[in-house]
Amino acid sequence: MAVADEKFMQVSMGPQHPSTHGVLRLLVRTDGEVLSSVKPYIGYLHRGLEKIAERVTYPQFTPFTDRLDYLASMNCNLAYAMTVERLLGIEIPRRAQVIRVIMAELNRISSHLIAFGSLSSDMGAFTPFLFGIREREAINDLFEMVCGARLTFNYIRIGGVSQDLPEGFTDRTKEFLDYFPAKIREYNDLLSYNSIFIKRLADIAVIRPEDAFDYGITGPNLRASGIRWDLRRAEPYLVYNELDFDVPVGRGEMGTTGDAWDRYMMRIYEMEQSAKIVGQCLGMLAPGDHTAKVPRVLKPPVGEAYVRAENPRGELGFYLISDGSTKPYRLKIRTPSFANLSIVPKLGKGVMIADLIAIIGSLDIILPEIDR
Amino acid sequence: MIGLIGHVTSSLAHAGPLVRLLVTVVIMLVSAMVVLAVALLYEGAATYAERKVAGDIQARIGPNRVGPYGLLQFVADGVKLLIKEDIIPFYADRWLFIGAPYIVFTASFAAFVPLSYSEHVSVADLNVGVLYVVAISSVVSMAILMGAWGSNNKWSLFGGMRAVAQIISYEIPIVLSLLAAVILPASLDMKDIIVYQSGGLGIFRWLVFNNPFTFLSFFVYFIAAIAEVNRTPFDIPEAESEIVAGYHTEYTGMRFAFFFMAEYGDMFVVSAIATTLFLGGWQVPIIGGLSMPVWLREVLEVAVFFAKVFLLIYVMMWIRWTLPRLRVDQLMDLCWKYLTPIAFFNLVGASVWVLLLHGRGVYDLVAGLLIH
Amino acid sequence: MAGYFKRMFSSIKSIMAGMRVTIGYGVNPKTEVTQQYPEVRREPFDRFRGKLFVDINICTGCTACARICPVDAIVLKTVRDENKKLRPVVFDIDNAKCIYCGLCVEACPVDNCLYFEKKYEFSSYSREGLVSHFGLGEPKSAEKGPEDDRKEAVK
Repeated sequence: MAVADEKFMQVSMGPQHPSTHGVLRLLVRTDGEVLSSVKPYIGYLHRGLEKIAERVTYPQFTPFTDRLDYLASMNCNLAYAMTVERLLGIEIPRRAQVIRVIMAELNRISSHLIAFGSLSSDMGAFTPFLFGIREREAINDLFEMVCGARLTFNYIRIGGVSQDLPEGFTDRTKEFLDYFPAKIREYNDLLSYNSIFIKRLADIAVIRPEDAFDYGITGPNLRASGIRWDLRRAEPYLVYNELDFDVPVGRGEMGTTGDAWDRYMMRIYEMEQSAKIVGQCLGMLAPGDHTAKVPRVLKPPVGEAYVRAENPRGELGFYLISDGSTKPYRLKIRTPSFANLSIVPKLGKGVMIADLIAIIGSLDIILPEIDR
Repeated sequence: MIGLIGHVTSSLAHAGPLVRLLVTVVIMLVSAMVVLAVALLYEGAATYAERKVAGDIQARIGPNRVGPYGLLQFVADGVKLLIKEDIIPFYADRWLFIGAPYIVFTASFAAFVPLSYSEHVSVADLNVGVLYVVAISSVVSMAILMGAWGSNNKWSLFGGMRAVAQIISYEIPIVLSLLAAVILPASLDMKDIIVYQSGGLGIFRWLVFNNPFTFLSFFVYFIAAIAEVNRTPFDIPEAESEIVAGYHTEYTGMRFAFFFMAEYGDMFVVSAIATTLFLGGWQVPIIGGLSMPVWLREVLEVAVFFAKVFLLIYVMMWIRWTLPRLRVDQLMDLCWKYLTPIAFFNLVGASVWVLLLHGRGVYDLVAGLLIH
Repeated sequence: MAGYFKRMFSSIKSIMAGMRVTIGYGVNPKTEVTQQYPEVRREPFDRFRGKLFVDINICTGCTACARICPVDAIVLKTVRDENKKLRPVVFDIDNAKCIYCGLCVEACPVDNCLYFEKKYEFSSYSREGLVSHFGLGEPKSAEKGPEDDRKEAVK
């Protein structure tokens, strides 16, 4: 450390810190409460998933995608399955597509509930976190009903989904959709429009649109900066182009467009939209196959495919190269949180320690996806 | 109880000075023990209540394993803390580190002394009671800084600095709002202040209803008091999600428990002050005017006093489990831009009221009008 | 000055909105959603992926499950018995390694041979305790000879 640094205090925030959302280490230099620089150190959760992919067969890798973004396993399954399907060139039955959309959107809601809850507990209000967990449990029940797991689903498979929807699923989902809007109103009363919460987040860590492009920010964080970019609309996959939903964008309701409050609020709005999508999809469920005819041993032709999908945290992309064998030659995963984290050093200059927590919380990063 | 000493010593007039001294010391020790025992019991109950209230608010049940309804949970917690390893960090400043919990604890309990629990039950009837409590509770800030500095931990240091800044700033609105109330009875003695509030069915002559300025003062005091005892939304000195555990990061076992108990002790003290100065202390509402045996009156008075205090403590818990936490600079904003000016305004207003109306409250004025 | 009071009142109003929500829960004991676990046990759904169970008597020893397992949690050794049928002598499932993905269950060609039980309480004090052994053991009558088609353990 240079002599000039002596007037700063160097603090290692993490990897064991209550609000770094996992094992993230932030090396911060502070002058009192004000940060002069933030440097994220990652890799504490590295498992070599991309390398593992080279030694397991295509279907065997699906459970590993659960462990990318464990709060949105369905979406990760979906993106991987779509990549392999593109390599194989299979068409998915319509019923499977609709089921996939239902699962992806339910998982989006449950993931955003955690984002909402963990940001609120970072801001010191613990009750909204537990309320978020409560609604998430209802969604987990639905998932358990469908596939038997509550966290790592491994439900969306190459060619479709692993099992058809069980009896009673539609009614139970409708029940959930009926009471969910009231809960969102409750969250808004309790947290979103609370003046302390607004004061903590409004005008904090503004991501300007050009910065968002430069750093490759995607998902709700990008939309909070006022850019209407959602892969479900921009490059519709599955049945999204038949669905009626809005893509909310940040408007700077409480401060500047692209501030932490906008990023937080995007998730609340998206939950409403996802609930709407699930409701429409339930009506679109027609009898049919839940999976396409897929050979028992998958040997995709030599070639490559890149497929991206809109995950709760942004664009998840799988780049897959096949050498014609049963195992991928190379898999590269483009994870949204990694790109979203990269802007933290820029945002974290000159803010206070408490704001850094708000930045990390509002970006809604998830570590297993960053380190993979 | 000190009053007892007078009685006993005068009845021991014929005994030698040594005996009288001995008796005095014994009575003092016994009364100290009684207060300590009651306070510890209260603290146990308060920790239990805190968790139960949190459970209620968060749609959970809360502790329910140890004893009926989990009532003995605090005993289990206490035993756990007692048998935990006592860790003193290698690089800690041993004397500061060891000394801090004792000072916090002592200061917190010393504040129990001048409280008037009923007409005849009090430890010491100090004629500067209010001043004494305000003074002694400031000692806590010094002890917190001692512990924070002595821990030799950066998070502790953040916490300690925040605590001192916060506690000292919030002393000002506290004292100003207390003054607005104290000028009416023109006494700093707790008992005198409560006696002043008698009449009016035991409710309407409370100082909080005396005039609009004392009414506002009560709220200013209460908000500032929450900050004084470092509770959410003003819990920045120990903000868990930001600075791990603030000034008590390095403390374990009983040393931690001392900080913990001091917080609940402080909660009681500030609520008791609010009760005494604004809410009529132990004045029994409605049936207070009836004639009844002295013992019954005493019991009722103690019950009423504790009921009011616990109501205020409940409100503090309710606030804690609802609101997010303020940032450190916003906390100062609230103190210097809102609470302090309002408290000044109240003080001036209350003084003018006293000057013009000779201390007659709204109730007296209305009653006077009705009679004429 | 007007803004000052306006800000103050809007803050108080928003805080009151939040306080109203929490007190609604605080005073209403019927809102609790948690279950008291040891007394109240939640019945999992039919498809629940709990502990893996093998009906070893109908197992054909095809090793499809061991081959599909992405984490090598299944160790399966088979020998040919006197009727030239494969006999699973060792069938160990390491529940600590298992990720409960369900690929093996789907790979199993025999109905109701390998499936998930609804059991979710099987903690153990040792790693060995987490391994379930289903194997039939070495056949007593079978004589070992060089002609024994003994498959290597699928790793």
